[in-house]
Amino acid sequence: MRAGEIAGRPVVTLDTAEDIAEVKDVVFSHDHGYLVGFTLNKRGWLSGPMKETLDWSGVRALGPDAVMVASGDALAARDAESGATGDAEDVVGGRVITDSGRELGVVTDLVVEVDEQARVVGYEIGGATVEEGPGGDRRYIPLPETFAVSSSALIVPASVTGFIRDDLSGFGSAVDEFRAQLEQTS
Amino acid sequence: MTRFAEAEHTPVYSKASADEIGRVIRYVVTASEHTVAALQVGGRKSKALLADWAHVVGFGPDAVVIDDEEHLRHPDSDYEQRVTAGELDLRGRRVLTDTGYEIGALVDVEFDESTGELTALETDRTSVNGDGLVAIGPYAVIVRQDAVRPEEEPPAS
Repeated sequence: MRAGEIAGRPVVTLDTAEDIAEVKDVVFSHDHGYLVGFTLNKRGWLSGPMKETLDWSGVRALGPDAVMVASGDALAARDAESGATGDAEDVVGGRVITDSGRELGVVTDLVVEVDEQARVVGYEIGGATVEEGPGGDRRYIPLPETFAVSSSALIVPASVTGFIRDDLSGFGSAVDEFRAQLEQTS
Repeated sequence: MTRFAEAEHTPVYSKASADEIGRVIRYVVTASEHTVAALQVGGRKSKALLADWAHVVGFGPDAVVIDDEEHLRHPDSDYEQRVTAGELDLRGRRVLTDTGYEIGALVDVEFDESTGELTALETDRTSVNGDGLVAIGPYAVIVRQDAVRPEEEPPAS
């Protein structure tokens, strides 16, 4: 799923069925792209950023209509010691450039794969360099297992161009194939 | 089996005095036990009064009989106060599974009038086994996904 789809989802407690927050953004680790949690906004017309964040370990379920947590205790003050992390908003707008010097596009969203763990596995890109295709003017590019993110530019291996997809169906296998190919060539 | 909507406004009688003491206006449900814990009896008194299910001796189509009106009590917990104030009314409330899928708005609740046990929750899209109730709150009624009746189960996450 796309990180942008998760933003705005209510965070609901399983014990009291209250909507205690809503997702503002995803927070991921810079080294392997693991989703470490979410930044939050207040709900309703008092909306605005909250000091508390939600750690991935406190998430009981990430559903299409709500993020379920056991109780209000799942929210905690942001831990400054949690290592190098970034938010989707730090990355969106960054240019994606191959290591051979070709611009592929501009990041419009992150692609998140969710099972036991959740990880950022790709970018949705758009912009002038992306041509209109059958799936619109968005493309999905897989990321290497370890990737370095900066807010201005993202350098990806040139071989990624063979694994760019028009939509998210089958994107998981594109990620796997791209990573397997990187493994072979390294 | 009886539905909440059917039994609302049913007159409530005291067996001890044979007086009509009011009508059923709401149900206090203990979500964790998926049972009706008490009935809110409305009528002559303006303050909310509850009859604990243990004092209900008969629940029929025309009348609910409790053992003695002396057993009516005021709501004591915060939850009971919110229920009797109408803040947690079930009908129309969003129903969410514990996996984060919305499965409609609650239309009615079916229960066993001899035990007070909930047997089904009906939404405008599907129905859920009564024992799948997890929590009742201001945002939603939460149910276990595995208790959603199979014909219209939400897609697996």
